Amino acid sequence: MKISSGLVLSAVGLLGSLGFASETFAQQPPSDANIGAIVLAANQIDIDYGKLALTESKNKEVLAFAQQMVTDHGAVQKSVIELAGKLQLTPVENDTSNSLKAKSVDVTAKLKSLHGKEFDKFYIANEVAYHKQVTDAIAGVLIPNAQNAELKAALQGAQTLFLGHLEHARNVQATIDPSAVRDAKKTK
Amino acid sequence: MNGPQSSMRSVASTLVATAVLLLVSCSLGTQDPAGGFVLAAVPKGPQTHTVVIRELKFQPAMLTLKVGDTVEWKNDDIVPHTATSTKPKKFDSGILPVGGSWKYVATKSGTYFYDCTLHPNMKAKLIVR
Repeated sequence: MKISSGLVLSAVGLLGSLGFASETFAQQPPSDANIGAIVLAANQIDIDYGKLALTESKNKEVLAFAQQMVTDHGAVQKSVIELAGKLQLTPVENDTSNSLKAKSVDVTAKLKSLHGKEFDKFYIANEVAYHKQVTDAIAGVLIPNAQNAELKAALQGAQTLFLGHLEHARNVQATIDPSAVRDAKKTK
Repeated sequence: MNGPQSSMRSVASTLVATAVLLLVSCSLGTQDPAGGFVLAAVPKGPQTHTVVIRELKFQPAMLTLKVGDTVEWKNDDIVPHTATSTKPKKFDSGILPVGGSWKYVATKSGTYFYDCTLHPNMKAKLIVR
């Protein structure tokens, strides 16, 4: 119980400063080229977490979820690259995409330090928190600032997909780490 | 014996046979445009309904069918999905890859809520009568 709450807290702590906060954009809203780079970075990060889980986890549900993340985010990645090509949009790195990548280095180091059930619990807690952060940012920052109609529509599609992942991650967490779900409810 | 009369008789019997066949055909059904034969008076048998999965939606999201009918889910989306009943638990397609499909025969009347276990925000229902 103590370990799992600690893990969840550290996952939340790591994710708290992801760089998705809306104040990042207070002065300069992201351009479509920035949005492209942010989406590509966010997708790649989750693909990499999934690949790590596929090599580390022994839990059937975690493995299935990780495989789904690699497949789904890979499909989104492909369609984002195709759309960028069609719109002749060259992704431009920015504070948010760079911050996402920097923070993922910390999460990856933490994941690599854990094994067995502790790995599974941290991986899933991170997936819940990460998808929550990403979907909040898509709804609050990326969609409102997207200029191109096709890009906006693609973001809306990705949003539906990622909200599905968030719900699925919560279901997996309820199975493998019910105490974390209870703790999260208490702090709400 | 193979005179003109016997020849005539043979032609006549062929004509009669053809007429009888035609009459039987007409009374049982009609010719379809492709030339095939379709029984018209017999009631329709079990139907197959299609639910297309596209852009993270089951289309149609509500389908009404009869006991004995078949539902076929076709995954036309860019990611894998499932069609899994949640209330009551009755059917589960397992993972449907992109381009995959799965059939289920409705055996009992009732309302079946189902979703995609991979993306539980995708919800739909079958009403079996």
